[in-house]
Amino acid sequence: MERLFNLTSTIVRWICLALLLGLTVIVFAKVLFRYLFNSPLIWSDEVIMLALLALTYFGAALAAESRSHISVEIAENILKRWSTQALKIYHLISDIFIIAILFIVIYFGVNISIYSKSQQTDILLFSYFWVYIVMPVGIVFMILLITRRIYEDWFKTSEVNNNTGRA
Amino acid sequence: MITYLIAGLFGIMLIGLPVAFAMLIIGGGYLIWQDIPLMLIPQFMTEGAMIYVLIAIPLYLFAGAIMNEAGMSHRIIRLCNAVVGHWRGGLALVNVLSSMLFAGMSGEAVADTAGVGSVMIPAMEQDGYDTEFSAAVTVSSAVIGPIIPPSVPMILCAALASTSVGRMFIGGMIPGILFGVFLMVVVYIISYKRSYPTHQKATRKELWVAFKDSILGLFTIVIILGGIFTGIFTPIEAAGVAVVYSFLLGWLVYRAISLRRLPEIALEVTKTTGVIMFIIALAKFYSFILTREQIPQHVIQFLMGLSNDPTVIMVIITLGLFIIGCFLSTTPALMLVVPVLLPLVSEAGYDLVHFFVVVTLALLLGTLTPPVGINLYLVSTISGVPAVRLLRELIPFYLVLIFVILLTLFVPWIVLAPGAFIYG
Repeated sequence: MERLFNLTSTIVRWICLALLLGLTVIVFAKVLFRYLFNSPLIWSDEVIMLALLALTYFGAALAAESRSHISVEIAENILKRWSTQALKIYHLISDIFIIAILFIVIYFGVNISIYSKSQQTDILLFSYFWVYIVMPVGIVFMILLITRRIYEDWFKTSEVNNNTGRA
Repeated sequence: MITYLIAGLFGIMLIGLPVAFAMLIIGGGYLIWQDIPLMLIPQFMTEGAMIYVLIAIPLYLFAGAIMNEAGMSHRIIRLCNAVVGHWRGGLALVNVLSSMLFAGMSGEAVADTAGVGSVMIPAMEQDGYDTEFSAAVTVSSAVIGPIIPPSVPMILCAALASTSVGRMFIGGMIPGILFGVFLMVVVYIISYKRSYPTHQKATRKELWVAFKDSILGLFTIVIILGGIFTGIFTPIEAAGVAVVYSFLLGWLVYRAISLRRLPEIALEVTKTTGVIMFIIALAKFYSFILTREQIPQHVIQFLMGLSNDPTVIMVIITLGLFIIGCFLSTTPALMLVVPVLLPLVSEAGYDLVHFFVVVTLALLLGTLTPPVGINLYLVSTISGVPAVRLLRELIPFYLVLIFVILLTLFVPWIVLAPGAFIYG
């Protein structure tokens, strides 16, 4: 179980890393090609947009793992002062609720991917299936990482809990 | 319906679910209620994350993070110290000036608070400043980060209001500089009253060394701002170039970044990007519903009913934004507010850029106030002073920011003149 979670976490990290570095390199290459070689990279825009889309959901999955998503922390702070056990239960309930909602999102996300299979993108002409499937795949990883968080809360003694919201 | 959409959203947020999920749940509930196919959700979630200008967000965050890692804040601080360190309250002034320079490279306040604050607060304490004062100066000057370009909130505004990022950037230029200068004036007065220490004036040689040490780093500002304003780069390209430049600088010249550390920096950036973009994508969905229910029109009618004078309406909006900013951090607040207020801009005859610069400034005040001021809590972690104890020291700085907001509101010229000068 633990190995599966660690593997998921590593995969998400590698994907995020590749996406951000790839994005940077392509944007930089775009400038280079336009000024030095006088031939703009026409395909770059579509790739960049897809990378941003993927970065959004894989990054969001990563953020979910460490509870970094922006939220109003009033309830959490009250519970924290009251008892840690209550906070744990509160986290469990809200996590399960979120996972349930995410399953619905995946279901309709896969549906729309299949539904728009025959449409093609403007420049690179690949099927819209590959555009719409990115989000559900990212969400699958998000669910796995949230599950990991629950697992660590309840079945591991060392608590990893750094929840400072950024942005 | 309005009660369901608004009260429901805030209700779920109050329970403590992340803002993005609150939007998802309330929006999904609405679709079921109205018998609209739920496939709209993944459609909006996909399209909402594919807005071209938003690519600038991870790139500017990345550039800022690399600069921080490369020890740029130390170099800038040394330079500022050589320039203003010998005035009364020297280190406090250095703190503000460094933040202003750092603002030209980073798009958010958090990097600035962490970068400048972790160096300056201990240094100021050692020099005999009160910790509360040091922390208050750090956190309020960090707000300059998202005002002076590049700026993540301004990119968001440009994306939502379909206006040019360059124009939004340049609109924040003078308000940001004014805020910095006024802060320095107030810091000087307070330092004078409490007779905080001065330092010996730096010799020419020291000044030269400090300048030489930081000039390559400061060149990032030239790349970003110069590149955008001369039209050599688009704001997105400038961000990409800045990342590559600052990385090469930190890696090869300053030798402060090891390739081993790069993944760690990058992952922190992707995480922040994920947080911001996830909200953006879902806010796209939620604001579609607000528009479908004609809530912007209701809000506008309500506001127009209060007064006929566009300026008065703007003051009322600004007050409202202060309150919203207290409870929501800048990104979700912008995502909710901009689509609702957008139709008002043409209706009341505001200038788009001016209006949204004021909106951004007003919301930024909220990052300095409880209960959800991100910067406030960050600086209280860095300095070890509880947030509540900072409030008293922050009051003069709140007033400075409010003054700048009102000045920007009543004198559109300071937002529009530089843009008119450059873009014609």
